[in-house]
Amino acid sequence: MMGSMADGLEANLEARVGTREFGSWMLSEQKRIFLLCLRMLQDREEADSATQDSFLKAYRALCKQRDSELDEPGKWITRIAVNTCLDRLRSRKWQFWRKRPAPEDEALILATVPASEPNAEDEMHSVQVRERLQRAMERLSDRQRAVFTLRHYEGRSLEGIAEILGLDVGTVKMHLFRAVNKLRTDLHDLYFGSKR
Amino acid sequence: MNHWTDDELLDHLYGLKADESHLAECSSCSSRAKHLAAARERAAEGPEITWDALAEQRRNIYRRLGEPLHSSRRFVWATSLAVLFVLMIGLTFLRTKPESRSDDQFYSEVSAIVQNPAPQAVQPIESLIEE
Repeated sequence: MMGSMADGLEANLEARVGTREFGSWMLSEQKRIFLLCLRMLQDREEADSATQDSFLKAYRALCKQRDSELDEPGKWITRIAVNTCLDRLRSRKWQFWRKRPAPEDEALILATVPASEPNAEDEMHSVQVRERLQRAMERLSDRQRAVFTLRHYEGRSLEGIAEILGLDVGTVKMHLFRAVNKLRTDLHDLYFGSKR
Repeated sequence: MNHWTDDELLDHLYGLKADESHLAECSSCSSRAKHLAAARERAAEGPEITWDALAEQRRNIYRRLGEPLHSSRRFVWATSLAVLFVLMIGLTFLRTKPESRSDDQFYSEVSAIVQNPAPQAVQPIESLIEE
C-alpha cells in the first residue's frame, strides 16, 4: 500500500523534476551514503534518517537549480551527508541519555565478514579489532570523525576530503593527524596484530 | 638503509608522512605499504545491508518528498519561543512592585529623621547604651 503510494508519487513527480533520473542516481549512491552515515553516527536508525534527509536535501537542491549540471554528484551528496551527520552529532551532545549505540546497532556495524578472509581465527580477531576501532572512534571530535571516516572507510585523498568538508588541506591533515594519534594503538592492532 | 617503522607505515597509509622518497628506493617497505593499503580496504568493507532495507529507505524518501524537511527544527523553534514568551510574562507579573507611599507619610518620615539628634544608623547602638 505504502509502496504503491510512493510509486504513484514518484510517477507524478517525474514530469516535474525527473524523479526517475534522481531515483537511479540514488540507487547507485544509497548504500555508500547509508554506510557513511552509519559509521559517523554509529546508530542504524539515525543513519537511516540521515540518509533520507541527505537525499531529500539533494532532491530539493536539484529542483531549485534544475538547469545547472553537477560536475561530481558523488562528492556533492557525500558533502550533504557529512554535513547532515555533523548536525546530528552536534545536536546529540544535548542528548546525554544516548552516549552509546544500542547493542544490536553495534552488532550490525561490526558484522563485517569479508569473503576473502581464509582463516576463522584471523577473521574473529579482525572483527574484534574493527569493533574496538569503532568504539575508539567515539573518542574523536566530530570533525576528526568525519575526516577519519572519509579517509579510512572511503579511501579518499586529503584534497578530496578538504573539498567535501570545505576546509583547506592543512586543516584536514591536522584533524587526521590527531585522529590517527588517538586511534594509533587500535590501528596498530588492526594492521600489524596485537604485538605492541 | 633504515626501513620504515610500523608507525611510519601507518602515517603513510593515512597521508600524513611528509617525506615519501624512501618508498621509491625500498622494495620491502613499498611492498609492506601495498599490503597495508589492501588491509585497509578489507577493513573498510561494510556490513551486509539487505536489499529490502534499502528499498524501504527509498520508499520513505519518496514519501517524504512532499513533506517539509525541517519540521522537527520548526517545532524546536516554536517551543523555544513559547517558553521565552511564558518566562517574559512570568517575570513581568512576578516582579515585586516598590511600595507606594503617600506624600504625607514621606514628609513625616523625613521630619522624624531631621528632628532626631543622632543619625539613623547609630540608633541601634544608642539603644544598647541606654539599656
